[in-house]
Amino acid sequence: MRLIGICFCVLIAINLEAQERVKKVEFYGIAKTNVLHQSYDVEGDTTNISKANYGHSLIDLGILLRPTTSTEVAVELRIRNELGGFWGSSVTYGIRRLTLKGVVNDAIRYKIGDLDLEMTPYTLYNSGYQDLVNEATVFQMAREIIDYEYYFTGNAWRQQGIQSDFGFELNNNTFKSLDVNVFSTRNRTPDFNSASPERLFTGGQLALNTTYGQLKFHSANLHDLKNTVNDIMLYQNSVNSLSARVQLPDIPKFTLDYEGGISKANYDDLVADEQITINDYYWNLGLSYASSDKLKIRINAINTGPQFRSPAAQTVRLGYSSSSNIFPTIGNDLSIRKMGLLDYLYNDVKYNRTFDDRLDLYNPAFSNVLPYGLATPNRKGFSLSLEEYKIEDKLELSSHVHVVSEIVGSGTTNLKSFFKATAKANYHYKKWSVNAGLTHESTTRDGDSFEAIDLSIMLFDFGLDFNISENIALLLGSKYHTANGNELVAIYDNYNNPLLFEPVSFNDNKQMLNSLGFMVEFNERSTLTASASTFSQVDERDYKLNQFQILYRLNF
Amino acid sequence: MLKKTALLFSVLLFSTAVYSQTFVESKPDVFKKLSISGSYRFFLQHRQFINPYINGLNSLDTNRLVKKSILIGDATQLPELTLYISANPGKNVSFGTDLTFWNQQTGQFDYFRGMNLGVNLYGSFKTPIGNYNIKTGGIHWLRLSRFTMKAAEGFNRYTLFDRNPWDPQYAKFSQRYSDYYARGSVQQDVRWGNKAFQGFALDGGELPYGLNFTFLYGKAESSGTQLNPIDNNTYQQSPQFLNTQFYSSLLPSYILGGRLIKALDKGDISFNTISGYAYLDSTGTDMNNYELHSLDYLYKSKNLVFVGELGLSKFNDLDYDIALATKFKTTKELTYLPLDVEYFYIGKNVYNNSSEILNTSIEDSQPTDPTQGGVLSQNGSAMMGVGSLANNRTGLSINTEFKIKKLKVNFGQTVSKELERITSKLTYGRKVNSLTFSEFYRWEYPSLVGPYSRISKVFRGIYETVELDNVRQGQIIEDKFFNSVELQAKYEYRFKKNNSYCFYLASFNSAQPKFSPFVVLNEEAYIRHYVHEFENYLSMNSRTILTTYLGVERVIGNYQTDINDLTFMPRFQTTLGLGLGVDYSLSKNTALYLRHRYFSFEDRNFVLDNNNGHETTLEIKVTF
Repeated sequence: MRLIGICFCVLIAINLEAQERVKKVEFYGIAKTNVLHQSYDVEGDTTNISKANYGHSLIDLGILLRPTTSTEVAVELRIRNELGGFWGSSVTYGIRRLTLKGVVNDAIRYKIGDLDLEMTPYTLYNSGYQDLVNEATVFQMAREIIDYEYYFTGNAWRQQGIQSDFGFELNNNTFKSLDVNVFSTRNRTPDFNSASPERLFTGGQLALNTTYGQLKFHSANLHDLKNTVNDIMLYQNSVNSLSARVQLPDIPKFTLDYEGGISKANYDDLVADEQITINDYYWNLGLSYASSDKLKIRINAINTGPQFRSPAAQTVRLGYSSSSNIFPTIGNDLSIRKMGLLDYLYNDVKYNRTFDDRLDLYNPAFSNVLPYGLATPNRKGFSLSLEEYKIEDKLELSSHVHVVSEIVGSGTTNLKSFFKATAKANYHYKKWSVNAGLTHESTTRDGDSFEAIDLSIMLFDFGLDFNISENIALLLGSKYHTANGNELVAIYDNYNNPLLFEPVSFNDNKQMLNSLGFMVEFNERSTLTASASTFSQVDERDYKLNQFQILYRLNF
Repeated sequence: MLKKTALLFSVLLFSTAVYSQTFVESKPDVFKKLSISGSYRFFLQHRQFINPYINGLNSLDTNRLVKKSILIGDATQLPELTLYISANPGKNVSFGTDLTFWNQQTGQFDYFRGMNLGVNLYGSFKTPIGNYNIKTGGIHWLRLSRFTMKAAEGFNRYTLFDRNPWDPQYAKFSQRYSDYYARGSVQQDVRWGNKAFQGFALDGGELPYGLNFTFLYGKAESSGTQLNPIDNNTYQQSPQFLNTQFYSSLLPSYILGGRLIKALDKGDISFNTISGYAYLDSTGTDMNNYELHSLDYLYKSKNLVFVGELGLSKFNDLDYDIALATKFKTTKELTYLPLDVEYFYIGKNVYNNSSEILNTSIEDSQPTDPTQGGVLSQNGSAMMGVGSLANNRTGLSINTEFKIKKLKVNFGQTVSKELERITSKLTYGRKVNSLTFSEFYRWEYPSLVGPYSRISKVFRGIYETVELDNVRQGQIIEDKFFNSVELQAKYEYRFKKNNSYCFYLASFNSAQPKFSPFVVLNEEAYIRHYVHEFENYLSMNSRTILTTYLGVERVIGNYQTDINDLTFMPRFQTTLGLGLGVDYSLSKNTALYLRHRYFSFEDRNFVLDNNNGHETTLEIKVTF
């Protein structure tokens, strides 16, 4: 202990000496006005309120405070007022972010407070949205709002804790350097009423950079702290993996990459004095080929064990069990209205801000092949990707195909077979830009009627932008989604084991969202968009929604 | 084990070249210029009743206000600290907001936080067919035309003693009073004559054919939203909803409006429109839907100005009705005395609470609480000042002014009549001590309160409702005619080489069942309402101004108005206000304002409606 203390004091002393007392304040942020006007149309519905009008304006004022050249405090203050809140009513002041970061001795970077963390798709990864494939600009505008509000930066999860990274020069021709990145965050606080202990999420990466490529060790651990409540159950989940990326010297156009690891979930029942442990492994081996900047192809073999549990990578963004706060019920019997494409983009559905130890409910109508991304348990097979193909800098194509199956049967000995194909195209010509994307998924399982599964889903995205002038554009967007067939969706118990399989069926369900927008670009970072949208859903209860939105975003 | 690990770590760290990694996220683009201005205002008020006000009756007992009251921090949207934050991140975009902080210094350290104007965003862009400006968020202070969206400006006849004494605060301390003497008004901020608006506004200028336009989509004051109370300390812990977190009702309540202006050589002509939609209940079944479309014109020649507006309006299922206000103004070269003569006709179905037109004829079920979308305005058949407009009314206004050396006099008269007999109620606003009286109900806007349930509060004022005995067999048997005369005199004089000012303002009003070319001064009038207010602002030196005020108000009702059960007599009210104060400049941009007022109200025939006392306010204002 004493040694650690001495090391710490030395570091601090060096750091203090090196710091230069320069005060500096800078600002950044975003200002936004979002006004929505919606109406809802259901034949024969005389009970539900059919119109909604709401909105707000806000300023997120980011302040960067630099007391020294090696220390920075970032704080984002939010000032918001609701549309229609006159004379100071419904004004909120909030804090969106508070982070301290700095460098010790110009060598060790640290960061405390709000962190955005991301590792690999199997260890720590916020998988993307399931309701888009190559979205139109008019929808991207709304999507960026969701990303911003829920801190979805790429595939990172916003966490609160401490992070540090540093590296070592190894002075070796083969082994060049070693990078270290460690973090520890607080996943939840103790709750005495439910005897939920304090839970931390800790981990990091160790990367060895060699002349052949990079070898990385990843570790992600979600674990309870003992004695923070009157403990009944203690949980711990560890995922440890190795990944490597090697570019072969003789054939530089080919790159091999690999990631493999193990997970261990441990439930320590202190009352019954028993432990339940779930172990499994995964691996992913890929070979990619890049002939030039215009063509990249990749093939991967995938195997993710059925008991593989990685909470930080297996949480879906959208809480499918939540319902929209807008037009929540449908029909005179006040049934819960099923959400659709428009709700996911504009309405107040629940997006998960962080992860927990439970495997989330997912919607098989949108993603059944890999609902938890690559970390989806119980999958083996391969994928083939045309990652990028450019023709004369006007046309960009990409596609991905997954052919996978279950490793063990779910509730039966027969295995499900999955197929997923995605294609994207972007075309630019003079004042026109077109983007389109198509995803098709199918799930099949043979057998008796109680186990047979045949599900087919499709999502189509289309966008057309026409630049009327340098700073004014007309935007057209369309989304079309179909689902037909049946599936048995696993409901998990407290130990994340399948408890039962709930039958869900889709009888040629269809959703369509069309939007026409007018965008003014004041500068690169500030736009005003006015858009009119129509949405229709053909399901057990058909309905239509119409929407008009004004969105002004000003980044500074 | 731990020691070994630490040792290994230290050795590794210091024996090998250490370098730092870069963090995942990119550094935000930063913006260094942020403009912050604002003001600090300390407000202390002490009120001491001699005879406390009776605010209600409890069986045979009377509820009186407490004798002594101390208030720190104002209750009328004037916070202790106001910060205006704005920036122009690009040449064509900008944003601004205000932050307000205040506390009542209760010893509990409760600091209230809020905004007056909200978050405002601006942008502009140019096209080959015009230049455009947008405003979003809000509150923005905007106007279209008198009938569509505008606040009444009147003829700038008011007293300065009651207004915020620091509004505005000039470097030259006496300029506030010299401006009022010279121009008839003190410098007004953006709110003057404009209406509060939230939402989206688009202005187009330099369009083909000399056209300009304004388009509005959003919320006027009359279409406010029902919102939940928010605890700023805990709201971030509640389930987060992006858009609807704070709404108690999502039902639409909004206005759509616009103005298309064609500039002419000697004026302009414009088409204006506004439509309002507001649900009144939580189930979305009752709705107010009103519209007003108008043409307004302005023609200017050397000695003559023609200006006016003609509109059509309707409310819910009522028929369309006409609104007309047309006036001409002459110069003294043409008519010896400059004249401002206006004829107006506002049909009973004309409705628009965002306009200058006061609604006196349509039951709109608006709540009285402004935070719930209510509009604080006088309703019933209102006795109003010269030049004010109300629906269900037609009339003529004449104004003129002249100057004799240092004495400036202006005079105005309005004669008007209700078009249809709709209500047997009559309302009039109290003038003297009105602000003092309104603060008897400091944190609320109640209607029909007081010992005789006839007082209603509006923003910084009160009005009284009179029940008329003019209904026979279910029919109102008499018309209502209104007369209003206002006279103002302003005089500048020197005291110790400093300019000092004396102002006098009088108004005489009557409402009666028959036409009269002048104010009715006898029992024929339902209500006679006379007001005299004298003010003097004596500049003792460049830093000190001594202020004095005397106001007398009398309201007399006839026997067709409310009769007291005990005295069997109608209203006979006398209000007296006596004021003394000092404006003292502490330093540049910092001043102290002390005001003391003796207030007295007596209705000799309604014995419970009597109160008097003293009120002292101390304000320190710092602008930066």
